[in-house]
Amino acid sequence: MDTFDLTYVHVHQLIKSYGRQTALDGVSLDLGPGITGLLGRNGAGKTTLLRILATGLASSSGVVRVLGEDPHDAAGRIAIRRQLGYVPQESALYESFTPFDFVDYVAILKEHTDRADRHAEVRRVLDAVDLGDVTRKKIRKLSGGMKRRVSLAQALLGDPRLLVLDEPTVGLDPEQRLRFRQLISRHADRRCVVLSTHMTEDVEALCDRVIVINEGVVRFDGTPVELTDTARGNVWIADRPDPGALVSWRTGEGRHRHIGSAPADAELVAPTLQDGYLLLSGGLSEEVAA
Amino acid sequence: MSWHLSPTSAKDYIGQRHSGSTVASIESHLPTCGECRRLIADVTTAANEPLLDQVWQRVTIALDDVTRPWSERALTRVGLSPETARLLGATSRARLSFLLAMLLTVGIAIVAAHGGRDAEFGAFLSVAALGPLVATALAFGRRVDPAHALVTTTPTSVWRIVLLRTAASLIPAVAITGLASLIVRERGWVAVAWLLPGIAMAVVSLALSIWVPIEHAALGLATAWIAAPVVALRPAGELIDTTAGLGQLVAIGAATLAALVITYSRSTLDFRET
Repeated sequence: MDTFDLTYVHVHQLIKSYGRQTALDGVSLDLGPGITGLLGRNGAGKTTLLRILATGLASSSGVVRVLGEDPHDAAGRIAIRRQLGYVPQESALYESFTPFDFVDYVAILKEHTDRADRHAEVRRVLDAVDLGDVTRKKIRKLSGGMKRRVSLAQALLGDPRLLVLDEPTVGLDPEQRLRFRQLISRHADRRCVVLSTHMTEDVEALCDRVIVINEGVVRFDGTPVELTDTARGNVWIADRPDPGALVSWRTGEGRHRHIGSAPADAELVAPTLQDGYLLLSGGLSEEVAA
Repeated sequence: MSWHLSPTSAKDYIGQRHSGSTVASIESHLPTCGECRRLIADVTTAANEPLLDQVWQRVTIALDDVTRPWSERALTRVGLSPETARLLGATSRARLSFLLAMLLTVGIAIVAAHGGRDAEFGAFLSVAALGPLVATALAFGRRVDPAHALVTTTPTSVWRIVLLRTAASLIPAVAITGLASLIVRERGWVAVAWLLPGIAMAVVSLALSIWVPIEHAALGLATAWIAAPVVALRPAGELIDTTAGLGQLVAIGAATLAALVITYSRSTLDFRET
């Protein structure tokens, strides 16, 4: 397989505008096999990018190729959709359905025509997300984490080459997140997984590559280790809060962690991925800081 | 289900050593229990795999039929495939709004029949024509379909889903409104003068949905339809009485034009800009 074949997603100078508002402004990236995490604030453009990759939204300009196909071309779009698994950000379930019925419904839409084979596939993906015991319970009676896993199960139908996951770990408890990581890391072998998340721990644990998007522009594209390194020499622990720090918070040990220039009597500490992300995105959003 | 298969019982099941009632009990438990299915898979040997596959396939299909919602089973009884019935069964959220719209139409028809005045009859015709439009608007779209974002990224044509669901809503809407028309049948053929404008508005809303969300298109058309008598400064009943013939022709023309637009531009619906 040559280099071109390993490019699952090719995006060049992608622009997406809604009226006067620009959601994506000249995004360029190439994605191969493995897991890529998108980090960014709410409204940064992550969901718009994922919807374009999932063929749910047209770009305003620029080049987009997904699995070698152009999503603006009707035949290309169908070809992409046949090899795609997608978990949208918002809940996309019919509450009156059971997990089995819902995943079966999506399997029908994904052209699994043979009934017996389709049902076997539905059971396979429900077992894969540990929902094999609640296949006949109404979705409305499931917990938030279980509902998220129903969404994930439908995305795994047919073992897709490209998996696009928009905040897949929202609502999952720590144990479920661990299971999710195991499942996705197994699936990512020679396939492409793109996921957006607010949780830097997920990126650290899962992704070979991380892309930080802010205001529709790619601010960072590299490995999690490289993102962590961007904060090296900028993270401090001190006994007192520092009003001049870019970001500062009280830790569980009662001391204060600062990102930015060195406060008085502070000691330099090793950065985390979250420190790198916060430094790169210019601190906390106004919403969080308030 | 509180019990689980023991490894011995699983082996006996595979080896066909259980009684009929025990087999039936196990087979009703297996579809709901991943743990026991994994156990069965673990104890299955290469020699009895084909037999197990056959049994498994038969049991699951039978059980899937039993647990299907009544609406899907009803649709399969009238000749639809289980797959098509499942695609149609997904619009349950819109059913209540649809039912209310239909009850409103029938209620106004009853009032019109008892009152016998032009104003009441006009109100019936106005509301009756909105039935097909409401049915169409509630058949598909971001607001009525929670899985819309997902459905539109599958290989199945969005247009096929729209048409299927529209037909499923439109047919009962027209049937119920048609029955309501019998209540005011003394008015002659004008009692069903709502039918063609109603269907025309439904088709036009579908055509407009290529560019704008269908609920916006339906709202615009409904507003224009309701406002027409006000603009013409005449009661709806009188307006329809005097323009019914022409109105039917206009409706046929609008529906034909909208159908042509749909035929040539439907792929846009599959990949909307917003």
